[in-house]
Amino acid sequence: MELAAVIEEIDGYIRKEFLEGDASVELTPSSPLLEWGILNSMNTTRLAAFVSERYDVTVSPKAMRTDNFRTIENVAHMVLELRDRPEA
Amino acid sequence: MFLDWQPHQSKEYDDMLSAVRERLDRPRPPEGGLRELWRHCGELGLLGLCVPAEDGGGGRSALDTAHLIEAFGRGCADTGLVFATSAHQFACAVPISAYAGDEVRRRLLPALCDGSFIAANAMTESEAGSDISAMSARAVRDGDGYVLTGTKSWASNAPEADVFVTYAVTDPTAGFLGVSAFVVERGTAGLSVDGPFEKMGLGTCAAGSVRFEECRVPARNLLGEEGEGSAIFQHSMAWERACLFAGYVGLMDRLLERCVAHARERRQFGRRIADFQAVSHRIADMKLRLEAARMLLYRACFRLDRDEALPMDSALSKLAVSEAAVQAAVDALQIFGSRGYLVSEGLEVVLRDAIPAKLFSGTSEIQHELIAKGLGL
Ligand SMILES: Cc1cc2nc3c(=O)[nH]c(=O)nc-3n(C[C@H](O)[C@H](O)[C@H](O)COP(=O)(O)OP(=O)(O)OC[C@H]3O[C@@H](n4cnc5c(N)ncnc54)[C@H](O)[C@@H]3O)c2cc1C
Repeated sequence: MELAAVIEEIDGYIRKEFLEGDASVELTPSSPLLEWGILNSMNTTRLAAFVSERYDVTVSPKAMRTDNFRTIENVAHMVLELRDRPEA
Repeated sequence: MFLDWQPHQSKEYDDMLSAVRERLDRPRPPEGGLRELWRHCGELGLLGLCVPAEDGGGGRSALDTAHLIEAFGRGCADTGLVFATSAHQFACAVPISAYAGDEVRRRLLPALCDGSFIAANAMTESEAGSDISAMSARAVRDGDGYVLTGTKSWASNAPEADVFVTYAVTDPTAGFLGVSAFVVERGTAGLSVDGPFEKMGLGTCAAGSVRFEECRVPARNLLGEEGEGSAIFQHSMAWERACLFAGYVGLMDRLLERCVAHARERRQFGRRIADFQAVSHRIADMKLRLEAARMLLYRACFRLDRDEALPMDSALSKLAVSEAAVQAAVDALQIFGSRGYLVSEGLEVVLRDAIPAKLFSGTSEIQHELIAKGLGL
């Protein structure tokens, strides 16, 4: 699966699950999810569970880092990296 | 899958149970005697069961560690001591051994394992309890160190502690992932502790608040990397939710034994109360909850050892054990009737010691949330 497709799916998940369809939030692939509070500890756990199931990867506690969750792009890169190198 | 202990593991459990009964089974430490008890625990290896052997610990797996903590909880009537030493081990020694640099590990871990040092984990703040993303403590890099400012509202062991593991925001733009973990040693300028709090149970475990006022710690006291605090805390909680709660499994074993013995012995209406199905079935339900909780706990440990643990695993285990422990204490009081209500019987204290298990390490509601979120709900 290509980066753009992963980004689109994660974007869709966040809009539906965390923003509850609120179109007024100008979400882009580089929006700061953590800084805006879209990803708090609970939502990050949910997002990690979603990508684990959807892309068949394991998001270990070690992977719960800022550089993996700051933006949608970061999350998508992490997914692709975990798929190619599960120990990453 | 092999769902029972090997003979050598059963022997280790039996030996630990006997040693704990001999050396630690009293309801409260003698006045001023906590340090001595702590050293006894160190001698029995109970303070660093899972810490690597080269750091002074027992080098055991999570599963073997939980098994021995279970023996501790069963053999020692002082649940406050079991809790205090487990918080020291799983929320402090574990992250130090997994994330500290060589110098800090070498200096602190042997003393934490042999009982010379007591450790406290300071995460909770007055406005950041269940929601750790609301943390306000800050740490700012300054030359070769960090300056910590903030107040932690609850830390078990704090009034006695020599070492604190604490968490502070280093990157305010990164939400809860902008948190870093630090080790702070007693005597550091700017560190002060209040307490002990007057609590309803877990008497041996002194708890207090911890204040950092322009508290400067060397950079080597950072655990892991900057921004890794949240992952470190989750790692500690996975160990704590699995292994600390093994003490409550042991406690339930002890309660069950007492209830069975009492139901066989106590006679009313010319019969043993065990002959009344209402009583025997209550005890059967205690057994059912105990064994189900025990299996969930072993599975959480098993997965922790294989690096496969998901937040849901330790949440299921923690929730099952803590809820079963409170219910077991209520059941025991009912089975013992009025004498169970007497302080001298030692059962009311079990209830007071069990109730906080539904609060610390994440409340029961938060465990339900973790399970639900893990299911994609
Ligand atoms: C005996 C004991 C020992 C402790 N030891 C330590 C320690 O060593 N170190 C440390 O840092 N802390 C410690 N704590 C603090 C403990 O971690 C917190 O009490 C716990 O995280 C809950 O926070 P709170 O008390 O602020 O409750 P709150 O977060 O204010 O919760 C109040 C109620 O609201 C519920 N609630 C909150 N959010 C949600 C939600 N999203 N969904 C559903 N329900 C929700 C809670 O479940 C609870 O019932 C200890 C507490 C106790 C009782």
